[in-house]
Amino acid sequence: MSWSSWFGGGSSGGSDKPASSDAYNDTSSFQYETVPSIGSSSSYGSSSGGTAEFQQQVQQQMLVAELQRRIGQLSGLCWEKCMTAYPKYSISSREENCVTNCAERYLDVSSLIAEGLAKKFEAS
Amino acid sequence: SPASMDSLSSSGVGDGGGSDSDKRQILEQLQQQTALNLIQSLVNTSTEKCFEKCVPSPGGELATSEQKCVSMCLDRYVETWNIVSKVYGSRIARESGGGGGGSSGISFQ
Repeated sequence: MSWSSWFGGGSSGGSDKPASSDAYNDTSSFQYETVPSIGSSSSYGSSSGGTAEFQQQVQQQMLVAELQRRIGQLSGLCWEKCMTAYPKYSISSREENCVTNCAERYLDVSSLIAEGLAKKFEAS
Repeated sequence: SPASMDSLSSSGVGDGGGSDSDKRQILEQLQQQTALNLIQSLVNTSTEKCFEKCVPSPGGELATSEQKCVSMCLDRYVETWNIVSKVYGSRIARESGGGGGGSSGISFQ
């Protein structure tokens, strides 16, 4: 799986910053990890693939978009559950575990729901 | 949206006659749109969350402490997003690599 970051810069957390640093400079290094890219972003221009390949690429891109939408939604949810303290200079390991568990358990619930609903539709 | 059937047929792709550059352009537009949507979603959600956290009683202007809070809050939100993104990624990798469920035929490279 290849991960691509939308924005460059160093890692965003983990180090203590001096209390006197400018609030705006603290936001200078972001790194967004994103969902798997469909190969590299410049790979679309290769050979003359057929319509089927094109359709698959379109489909994949739309899957990526949907995935990002869900990640955004779940991030908001897990933020509410886990990041309850006043924002500090870095995320604590307790918070990190909480967010990880939150996302994992949500996906577990999502699978259970999918199975449960599938059974209901089968039965009827 | 770039992926609508209207734009596909108007560029000739719908009838199978679209050129490679048409296809490439559509895919690039799709990518750009996806990126824009991502940015918009990040802006909207982090603004809301950080306003809630940092400005409990809105006054006549943002205090320096509130500005700092917003800055740190944004960093923390992005980290949260990255953690959730990793969890999603691992889950997908596990579920598509791990067994017979690959009927969709989609693979992440």
